[in-house]
Amino acid sequence: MKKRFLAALIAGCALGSGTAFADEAYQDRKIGYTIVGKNWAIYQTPDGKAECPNGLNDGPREQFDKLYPREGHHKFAASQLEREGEVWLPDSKGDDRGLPFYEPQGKIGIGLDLDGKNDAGDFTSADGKVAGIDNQIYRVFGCVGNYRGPDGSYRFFIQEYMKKFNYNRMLIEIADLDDMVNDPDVTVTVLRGRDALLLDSQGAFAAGGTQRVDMRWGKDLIKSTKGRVVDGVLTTDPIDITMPESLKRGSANLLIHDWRVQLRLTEEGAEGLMGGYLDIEKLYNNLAQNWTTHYRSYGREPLPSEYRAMIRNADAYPDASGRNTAISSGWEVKFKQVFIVHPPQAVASGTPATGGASVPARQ
Amino acid sequence: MRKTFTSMLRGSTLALGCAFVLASCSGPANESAPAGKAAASVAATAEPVTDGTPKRLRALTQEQYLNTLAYVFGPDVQLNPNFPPAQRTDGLLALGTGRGGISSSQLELYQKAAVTVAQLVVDEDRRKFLLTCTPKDAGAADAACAAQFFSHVGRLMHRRPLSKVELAEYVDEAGKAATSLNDFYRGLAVSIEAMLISPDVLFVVEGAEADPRNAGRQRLDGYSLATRLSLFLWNAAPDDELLRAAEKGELQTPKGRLKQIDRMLASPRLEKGMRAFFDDMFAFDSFAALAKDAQMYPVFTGVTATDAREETLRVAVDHLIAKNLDYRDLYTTRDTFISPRLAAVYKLPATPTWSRYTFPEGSPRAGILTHVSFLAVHSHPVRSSPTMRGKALRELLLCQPVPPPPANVDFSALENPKATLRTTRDRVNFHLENPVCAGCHKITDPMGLALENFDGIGAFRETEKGQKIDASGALDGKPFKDAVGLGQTLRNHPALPSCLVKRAFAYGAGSPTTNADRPLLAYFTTKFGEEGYKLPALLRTITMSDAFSRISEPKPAPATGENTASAPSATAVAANTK
Repeated sequence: MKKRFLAALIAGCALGSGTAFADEAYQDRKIGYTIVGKNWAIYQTPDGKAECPNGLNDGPREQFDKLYPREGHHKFAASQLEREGEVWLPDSKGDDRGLPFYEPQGKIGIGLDLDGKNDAGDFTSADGKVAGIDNQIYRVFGCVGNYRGPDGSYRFFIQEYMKKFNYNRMLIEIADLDDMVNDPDVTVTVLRGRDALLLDSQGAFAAGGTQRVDMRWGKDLIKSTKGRVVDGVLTTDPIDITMPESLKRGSANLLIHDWRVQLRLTEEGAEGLMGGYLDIEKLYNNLAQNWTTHYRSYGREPLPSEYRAMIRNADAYPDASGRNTAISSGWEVKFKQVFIVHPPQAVASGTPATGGASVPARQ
Repeated sequence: MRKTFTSMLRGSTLALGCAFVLASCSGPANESAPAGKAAASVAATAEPVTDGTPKRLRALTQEQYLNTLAYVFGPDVQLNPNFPPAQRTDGLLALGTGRGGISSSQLELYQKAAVTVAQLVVDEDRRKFLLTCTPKDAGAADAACAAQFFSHVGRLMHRRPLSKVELAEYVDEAGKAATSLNDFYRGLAVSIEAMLISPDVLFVVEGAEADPRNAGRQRLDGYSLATRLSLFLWNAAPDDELLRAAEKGELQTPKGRLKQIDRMLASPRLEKGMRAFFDDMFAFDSFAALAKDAQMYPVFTGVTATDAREETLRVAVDHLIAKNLDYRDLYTTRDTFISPRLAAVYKLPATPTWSRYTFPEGSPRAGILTHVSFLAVHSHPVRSSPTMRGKALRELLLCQPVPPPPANVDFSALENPKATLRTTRDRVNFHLENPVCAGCHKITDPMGLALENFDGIGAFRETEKGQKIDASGALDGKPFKDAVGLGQTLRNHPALPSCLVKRAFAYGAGSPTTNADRPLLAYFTTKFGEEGYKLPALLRTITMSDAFSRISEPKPAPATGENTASAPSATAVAANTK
């Protein structure tokens, strides 16, 4: 493929256009991808006993039963409203009124080494090849049913929302790309697309779609960084981004400090890991706002307890008092190749067809 | 009462159906030699005198019926009646409309459509502008208003003025129903429904008259000529102006006919007409049964198939009508239209809707042979097929029939090929080793192999099972190295324009061409070339020709009486039944 790409490039330059031929997934030394799959990086053993020896955490229903036993008589304000209030005004102090919260045990985890250090709380990959993995959010979510595969309800809904909504259309464009196997210097830009994802005849996400860049509401989300491709794997330099997201009740754009990816690239798609530090307050607020109690009940997710765990495991961006405000996080991600159209300069010349605008000849 | 009236029409329609089966079983004549350079060289500078074409009795196609309804009642009168398709005859579905019968279940489809349309026409909102009068009392019959409506709409739907008897019948039945239902509009709907399934509406029965300019010969009568012209150029019934020209006899004069033809060629309706023609000529009805293996080609969906068909038709209309360019360049042009679904196969960026696109110089795609439509339709569900593609190219574009394989053909060598035969070229070369196969395959496979850079859905590939694809080949002694070269070679093939001429004349006249037509077709082809292979010019030449309107002498009926020389008119059949 490299050979063909170079040949096309030479031919394109010879024509004075500096462009490649059609029928190429990447053109003009660029390839684009759109996100089609995203899950928190949760390491799981088949029966879950190794990482969650105490089992999975209680959710809102179970906690409510413990706090307000059914045989008792409870005032509305001192029971339902009280616990609901704790969702919105979480407290990091105390022990959550004696309610237990189980964090994953062990050293094995999935994710990226964000700080280049192998600290005490860091994880090591299951094959032992990668140490110093920073993914402390796993300590929070790892024993919560909503986040665990294969059927944690958030895992289902977040993939479903990929089809249903457009505001989560995270795009990655790799430019200055001469070789998809080894290229020491590429430019990686994060953008938001505004088109539906392409589905194949079986309803799965397909490569080859087109995404127009959202320049109206997504302009501020466009960020670029540098990266390199080694043996077909793209690794990017850290950069702060806002990750476009759509959840049940709105657009929950997440600020990620030191965001980076490690993706195996093909012409059809890219797959791998994404990591960075999440601002705890914003993350918690997003979770509270976008998932109602019944969603949390599906997967037994005790949000006030999670807040305490977030504070406990926060590992970066300390405030003036020295308290960490962000938590290292990892995601397993999948992308499909798309053609990214940048308005308006990328729209090639050509007479608009009836009922439609002209298509870019090439990017 | 309504039931009686409908049953009456049903009976007449069935009778007509039987009659037209008998009248149309002459079938296509044998015509094996392509009308190429040799034929063109014998062309005269003036139109050769031919016998003309037979009077035809044929059914309106679904598209013709729907187009007519849209033009008469408005584009929002839409329905999807699923009329049965015609049988492809001599390369065209249009010629199959003169064959076959009407079963009761088919008639039911027509009737359902008619009921829907009738209800839409008298709908409270639409009646205000579809009816040219208002009844004195909406709860009672109004013969004057009904007569005004049916004389206007009946003329457009019957493609001729209604006779007094026909008009009276529609008005009377509408009146009886209105009285019975205490509703003028519902009564009107009963007669509208009856009109829409009338054999005179559903079937085209051509009539002839003596040709005063050619003693002893016959020509189409004015209304039949108007209908033939309109179905050919617009794929719909004549409009008011064309019927008026027929009524005044203007269509029978060269000047009057030219005026109408030029008007029709300039009309937006021409686009629909030519879309229908090329859809037929390219055998795009195959898309109805097109399926691709979802595992092998997951990106190919039902929408992809629909869009592929649309792409080629858009290009044909844009190239040949909007831009009025050389027909032959349809096989080399890099201009096309892309939809999001097609873009996924072409690996191109797309806008959310259809948009123009030009494949760049150096692209492996040029001409409609490299469209997803041609490549996908003429492939197997799981792989490409050089043989199917080559056969389609010969038959559809060059009018050169390829015989079917012998009944005892052994497919095992192809279906279980040796492991050493890695590419499709390796496998199909087996054909050429067997003399029984080679005779036909040598005229199909070399062109089909030139398209091997495109898989079973038309996606580009450089290699097959790790082997670089060799897309070289030859077409009738002209070598080329790839699909673009094939398109260029096809573009310069003398049979390419002559095939279009043959198809267009047969399509327009509604009957297969015969060997006797060869001088005429050669004349058309020569003129086509002289005018730069422009489609509108060819349409003008054909429709202005004497042959287009001349009616051949009926053949004597066989003594056995099994065949009839001419069809009874729908009116006559209907009248006898009534």
